[in-house]
Amino acid sequence: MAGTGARVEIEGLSVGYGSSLIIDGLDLDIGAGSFVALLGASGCGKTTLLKALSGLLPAANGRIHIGGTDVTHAPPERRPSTMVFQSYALWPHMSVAANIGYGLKLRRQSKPAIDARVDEILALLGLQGYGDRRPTALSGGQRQRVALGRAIAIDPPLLLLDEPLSNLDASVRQTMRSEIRALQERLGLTTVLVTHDQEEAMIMADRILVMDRGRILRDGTPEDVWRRPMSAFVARFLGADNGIAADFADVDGGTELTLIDGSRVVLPGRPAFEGPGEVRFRSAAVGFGGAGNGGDGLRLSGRVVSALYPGGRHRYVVDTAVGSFTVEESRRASVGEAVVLAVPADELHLFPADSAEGLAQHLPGGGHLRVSRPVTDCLA
Amino acid sequence: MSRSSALALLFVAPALALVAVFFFHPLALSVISAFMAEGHGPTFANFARAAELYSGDIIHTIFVVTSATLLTLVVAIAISGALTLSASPGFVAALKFVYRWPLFVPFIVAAQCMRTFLARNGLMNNAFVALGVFDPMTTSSYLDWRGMVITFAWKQVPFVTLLIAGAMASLDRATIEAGRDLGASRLRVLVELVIPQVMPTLLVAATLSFVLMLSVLSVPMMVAGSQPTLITVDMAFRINAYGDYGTANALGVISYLIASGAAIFYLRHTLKDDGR
Repeated sequence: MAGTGARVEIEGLSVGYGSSLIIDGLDLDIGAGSFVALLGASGCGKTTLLKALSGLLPAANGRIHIGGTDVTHAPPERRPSTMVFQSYALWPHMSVAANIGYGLKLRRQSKPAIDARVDEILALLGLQGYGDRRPTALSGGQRQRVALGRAIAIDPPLLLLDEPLSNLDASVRQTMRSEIRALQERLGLTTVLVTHDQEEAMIMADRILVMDRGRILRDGTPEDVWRRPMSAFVARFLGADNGIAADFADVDGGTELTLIDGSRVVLPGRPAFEGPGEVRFRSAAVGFGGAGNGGDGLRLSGRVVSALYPGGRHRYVVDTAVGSFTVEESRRASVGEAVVLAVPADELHLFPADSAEGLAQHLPGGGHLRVSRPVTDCLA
Repeated sequence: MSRSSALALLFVAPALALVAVFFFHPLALSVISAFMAEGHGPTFANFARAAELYSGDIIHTIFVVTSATLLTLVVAIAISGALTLSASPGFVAALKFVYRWPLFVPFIVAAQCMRTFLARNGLMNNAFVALGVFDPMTTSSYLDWRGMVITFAWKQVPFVTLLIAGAMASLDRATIEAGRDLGASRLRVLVELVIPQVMPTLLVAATLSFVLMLSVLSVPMMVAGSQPTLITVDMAFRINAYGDYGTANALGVISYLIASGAAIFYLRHTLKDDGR
């Protein structure tokens, strides 16, 4: 029953609603059988791209090939893709079995063949005995499985997932992530997942595309994208919430950072650029440094202004002379306590600022997101 | 009885009194008089006379109103489906603009328009003759049951469309997209996925239209003057020509039973759906 996933080639694709183009001139090649996550904030164009692939949104320009066939102008019913919708979009007047078997019915398969395939899918998804129920009588996780079953019943060469897990409880979501991933690997389906959840993309996909304003800012394996975000926007989106504006200079083969309070820090390795820029790092990468504990990296003294305990590690907000930062640390500290923040050099991501606007992105309420020029992260 | 519920009853009392005096009282009187004959006491004589003289018209009424309801539904579903599933925004806007007009035309005016439109030398036949579709010698008048069905449908389609298109618009759009995504044509999406989801609204619209058309006097009078006609015309005739309230009321009770049939049909379907 293993379907063979199709290769997807997109050339110069432009697509939008009415006269406004959301995506303009996008190129993308998705290998057969791969699992790609489109990651981005609301309005970044990820769902638009998915709808263009499915045919629900017509392409204004460019070409889409699925499995070597040009489907640019084909309506959704003539494309070899199926989609799992965010709302599941199950038909309430049909039984679970009828929902799953509908695509096969449209393909004029015989009743016994449809029944057999539906039973197979129900077993695959752990829904044995639910075939006669109405979707309204199912839990969220079960509905999600039915929606997935309906999409994979016809062995689609391309499976499109539009935020399929966003309506589920945290625990069900965890289970479904690994289930969908296992199923995709087993069936060999080319899969495109749209999500705004960075963790979901990291866990499920073998390739991540970070999108913003209809463009692909970063394209790579989860680990590569995580370690080398290449732009401040991507770094921020992948959890590097802490940012410091700094001036970068090449000093004796090292990178000298001049922070806004005038203090200087030297990091190992030559900088990839000089002049104004910013440093970003994740809250999990910061620790409380002991006094005199030197080493490479950034050290900032400050004071705890807020302390939360979400379970596991404590979460603090620490005010320093160059800004306030969130810190995840196992040591207990109380509000008002003086601490030293230490960030190892290899956890710092450095980006040039194209303009003052570029630095606004990590300031509270600071303007719209400005993407800095992708550069090779000098320390990675 | 507590003080507050007594007060509540006091508030609705005027409305209840109005309903009792102006609705239940005449209804009860007419039903009772259907089973009474002057100087004879309780009898089925009125019903016997109604059956003897008008059984043809009773069947004709059921036939015309049912046909008109079905035609109304078919056209309204086609328009609603086009409004919901069309990919052309210009077409949808134009259709939306046009389809509501008959809503604001009274039945009597609609009937009058149809007289000139459907007559042997009416606008419709003339147009077909001009187009060369019909031969001028073989044109016939549509001013019979067909005229009534067309007039009823013309008048009721906007109302039914309004209800059905509204229900279709409030469906989760993704349930339509999911059908197309799996490979269903627009027509299949309409028939297999959209209509079943708006079935409750469809049944309400059909029942209301059926009952409304059953009570119209102007259309059968103006569009189809000759026999057979609808029982509303017969009722008016019994009263105006003979002062025969007994037979007219018997016909009224029969018309009420036909309407109840539609209501039972509607209730059975909605209850069956709720039970699942």
